[in-house]
Parts: sequence; C-alpha cells; structure tokens
Amino acid sequence: MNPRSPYVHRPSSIHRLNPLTKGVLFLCTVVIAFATSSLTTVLALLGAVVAASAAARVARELARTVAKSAFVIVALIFIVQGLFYPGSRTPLYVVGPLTIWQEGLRFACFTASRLLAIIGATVLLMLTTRPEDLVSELMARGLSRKLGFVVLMTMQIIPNMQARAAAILDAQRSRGLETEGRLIQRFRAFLPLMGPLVVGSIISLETRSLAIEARGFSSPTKRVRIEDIPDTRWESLVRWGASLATFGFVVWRLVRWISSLIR
Amino acid sequence: MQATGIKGTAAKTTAAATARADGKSETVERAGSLDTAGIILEDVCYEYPGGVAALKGISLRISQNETVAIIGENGAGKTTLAKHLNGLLKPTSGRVFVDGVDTRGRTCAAMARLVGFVFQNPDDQLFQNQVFKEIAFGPRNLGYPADKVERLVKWAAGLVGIEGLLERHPFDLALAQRKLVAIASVVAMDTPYVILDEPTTGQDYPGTQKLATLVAKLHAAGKTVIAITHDMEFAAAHFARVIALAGGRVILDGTPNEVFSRPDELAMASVEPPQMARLGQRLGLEECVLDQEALLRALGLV
Ligand SMILES: Nc1ncnc2c1ncn2[C@@H]1O[C@H](COP(=O)(O)OP(=O)(O)OP(=O)(O)O)[C@@H](O)[C@H]1O
Ligand SMILES: [Mg+2]
Repeated sequence: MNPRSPYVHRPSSIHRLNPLTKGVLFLCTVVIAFATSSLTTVLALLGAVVAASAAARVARELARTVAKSAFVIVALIFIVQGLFYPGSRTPLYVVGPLTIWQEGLRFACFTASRLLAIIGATVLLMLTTRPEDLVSELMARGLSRKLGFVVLMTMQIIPNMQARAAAILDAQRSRGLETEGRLIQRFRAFLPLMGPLVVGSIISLETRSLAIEARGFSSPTKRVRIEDIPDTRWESLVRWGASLATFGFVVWRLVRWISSLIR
Repeated sequence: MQATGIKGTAAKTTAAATARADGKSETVERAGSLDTAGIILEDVCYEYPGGVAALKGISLRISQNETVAIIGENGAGKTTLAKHLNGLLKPTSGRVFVDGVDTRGRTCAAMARLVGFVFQNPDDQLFQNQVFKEIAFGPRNLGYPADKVERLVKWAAGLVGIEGLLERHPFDLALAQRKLVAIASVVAMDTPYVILDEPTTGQDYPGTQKLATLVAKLHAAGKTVIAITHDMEFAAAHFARVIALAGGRVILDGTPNEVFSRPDELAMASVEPPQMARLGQRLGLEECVLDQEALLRALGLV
C-alpha cells in the first residue's frame, strides 16, 4: 500500500502468520532482551531473529537495514566499553597509551548483542508485517478506532515527512541554497525547511482526516472487515505460550534480583 | 530589466522530427570547443535508487533562446529529465552540459545561477511568510545587492502578474496563485534557462494566458524556456519546439507542426494532438493545423 513502508512481500510462512502472533513474539523478544543479563540468552534471541528472517526470506534486507541503523552505535559501544569499562582488571591488548580490557569487551558484546536483537526484531516485524494489517487485527480485537488511526498515522508520518523533506530540500537547492557540504551549511539549509514541512504536514493531515470522515470514519455502526486475516488455534497457543513464558522469565529475574538484594 | 545577453553563437539546432520505432534517439554531433552554449545531453541514462530506470539514453541539444515544451504521459520521465538540467539529479551514465559546464562537477545550488527550476508542487517550494520575501529568497542566495534584489522581485512579479500580492502570506493564497508565486520566485533569479514543471496545472484561462505571456516575455528577454506540460494546446501555441517522451526515451522532437502531425508516434506516448489538429486530420487535410486560423486557411475559408 505505502510504497515507502519497509514491508517486503515474500511467500513465506512467517509472512502468513497472523500479525498479532508476530506482534506478540516481537514484544516477548524485546522484554526478554531487556530483562536478561546473560550473554547466552541474548545470543539465543539474536539467533532466533536471524533464523526467523531466513525463514521469511528477508535475511539480506534485515542485515542491510540493521547494519545501516546500528553500525555507528555498535562501533561506539565497543570502543567506549572496551577502553573505559569501569572496574576492568584484565588487560587484553595494549596499543600505545590505550588498553583494551577483557571485561569491557565482554560487556560490549552483551550490550551490542542485546541492541542488535531488539533492532533486529523490530526490523523483522516491519519487513514481514503490514502496519495496516496489525492495526486492523488489533481493532478487530477491541482496540479503539481512533487509537488505531493515530497509531497508523504515526507510523506513516515519518516516511511521509522524509519524502517531503527531500522534495523541499530539492526546491531550495534549486533556488541556490547550498545544502550539500559542510555541517553548518546543512544546518542553515535545515531552518527554511521547517516551515513548509510542518505547514504541509498539518494541511495533509487535516485533508486526510476530512477525507476519512467523509467516508464514515466515526459512524457508530458495527464494522465488517474486507479481508479476514486467518488465525489458527495453533497460533493462539504460540501467543499464549510465549506470553506466559516471558512473564515467567521476568518474574524469575525479579525474584533472583530481590533475593540477591536481601542476601 | 536587463536581460542576460546571449554568449557565443549558438548554432540553432535543426530539430527535424525524428521518430524511430526502436526509440533510439540520434547522437548529437559533438559541440566544438567554441560552441558549448546551450544545454547538451549525451546519452543520458538515469536509474532511481529503487531500481526504476527512468531515462534510457537521451541525447538532446537545446540551444540558447529556444522555447521547448516537453510532453508525454505520466511516468514518461519528464520531471526526471528536467531535474538533470539543473543538477538536482546526476546521470547514472552519460553527461549533461549547460553552457559547457558538466553538471556532475557542480552542486545544484551552483547550477541555480544558470538554470531556474519551478517545481510541480508549489507547496514544496514556498516557505516564507510574505510573497515578497519568497520571491527575494533566490536572488539573495545568488548574493545580489539589496537594490538589485528588489528590482528583480518587482520585475518577476510583474511578468507573472502578481504585483498586487507582494504583501500577502503565500499560504493564504489559492493554489493557482501559489503556483504563480513559485514561478515568480524562480524567474526572479534571472537565470538564462528557466524550467517550468507543469505550470498550467490548475490554472484557469486567464492564468494560462498569463503563463503564455510569461513564456513570450522570457523568450524576448533572450532566455531559454523549457516547460513540461500535459496541455497540448498550450504546447502547440506558445513553444517553437516540442519534445515527446515515452518510457524514458525521446520519441518525437521537432516543431509543433512536425510533432503533432505524427499521430501514431504520439499514440505511443499516450498523447492526443490538439483538438484542431485532430479535426484537421478527420477532415483529411494534408498539412497539420494547430489553431482555428490555420484550419480556416487550410479549408480556404479565409
Ligand atoms: N523519487 C523516485 N524514486 C523512484 N522512482 C521514481 C521517483 N520519482 C519518479 N520515479 C519513477 O520514475 C519514472 C519517471 O517519473 P517522472 O516523475 O520523471 O515522470 P513524469 O513524466 O514527470 O510524470 P508526471 O506527468 O506524472 O509528472 C516513473 O516510473 C516514476 O514512478
Ligand atoms: Mg512530472
């Protein structure tokens, strides 16, 4: 639908999963990645994300997008933690005045893997699930229509704004505004950009809400769906299982944490 | 207002209607070292990052002081082609020269001194809170002194016929007027080349007439005017040369009479000739007639 959404259509069993299942599995991944402190668990999550992306035939897209968005920050994590991790005792290499610490590298490995697992899961969800399907499924299960609209609009607004910003920058360059090159120049180019960007976004948002209102958005009648998104007992079982397991994991982590505080 | 003089002796290209079924456009003879004036495209191909091949080998020469209309169906590559002329896009392969300057070596902002480009959608372009400031933005970027900027603004507003709107806020204006403001704000940069992307869209008859006058005045001032348009009457009546694009290739290039007398090739570009030309063809006239006068003359009625 939206040519700028990252969704890639491929014939795969992951794509055919009910969007809710993918949403729940995504949330479970994120929650566990945050709750755990074990490198093995985080690596297992990362492995699961990679395996799922291979099953969904989007492994290459996933790798490309994750590399683009996380490369700098992962590099920074390794540099900063490797060199300056507090409480490091075991030097690994000494390069001139700098010492790379083993504890720092371990911690960097853990943090980076956790970050990659979370970003990977997010990108995988976006690559294999149309946002409108996910929201439509949520609305069928009782999410309010207005909230659904807000969620969808928010997801669309960023690619929309990016495209508009590119068009506006082009127009201003064509009128002799230097936007390429040094940072200060780019910043100067950025200011005149804001006016048309914000005004344009508000105008288009207003037009859009009028347009959907004209098609009966807030009419109180009961809705039917054009396309039923298939769901199976088996998937429902997976969702409940994953949710319970995640819940259990978080509880277990909390108990361990509290008991370590008491002792 | 002093128009930018014509430098060098631009050899007028003899733009014979060249139509080929294979869509290959002829190779333009290489410009000699003394004769670099005008816009030269050498086998320009362009592929968008997503993989869409929008231009597939375009070779063209547009001399100084020509008036050129570019026509073709939606998605033919007209806007993509025009964005190459001011360096917004750089060819994937092939080269574009403007007055001997290779666009690959210049930023778009540097090309703005030579080529003015009016966008299809004025709302991407307008951002100041006053029409005067909006029109002055371009000349200021070119570093002109304040009195020259003011002169240029008045001149451009006069040409487009929006002198009365200079104090207004652009976003309070109707779309057609905003479009005129966007055009004035590019004309004010006084560039030797002016490109208009679909200037007549949304204009009523007086608005279209204003644009026709603008084209004539810019031409009289020695400028080269290139307009993309879906309005065949506008293209036929006010431009000396018409280029038809289809699928990223030039399929017809010549005077309006030459181009609009080729209904088969025009059909390839999904373009209908102007109404009078179609009527003339239905009446079995040999020659191509583009307006009522020509039709009446051809029928021996005047
Ligand atoms: N930013 C972009 N990214 C990818 N593809 C693009 C982009 N802009 C245009 N295209 C594609 O390139 C082709 C040529 O587009 P272009 O805008 O040049 O056509 P046009 O002749 O100006 O059409 P119109 O009459 O609709 O303005 C089309 O297939 C279009 O979908
Ligand atoms: Mg276009």
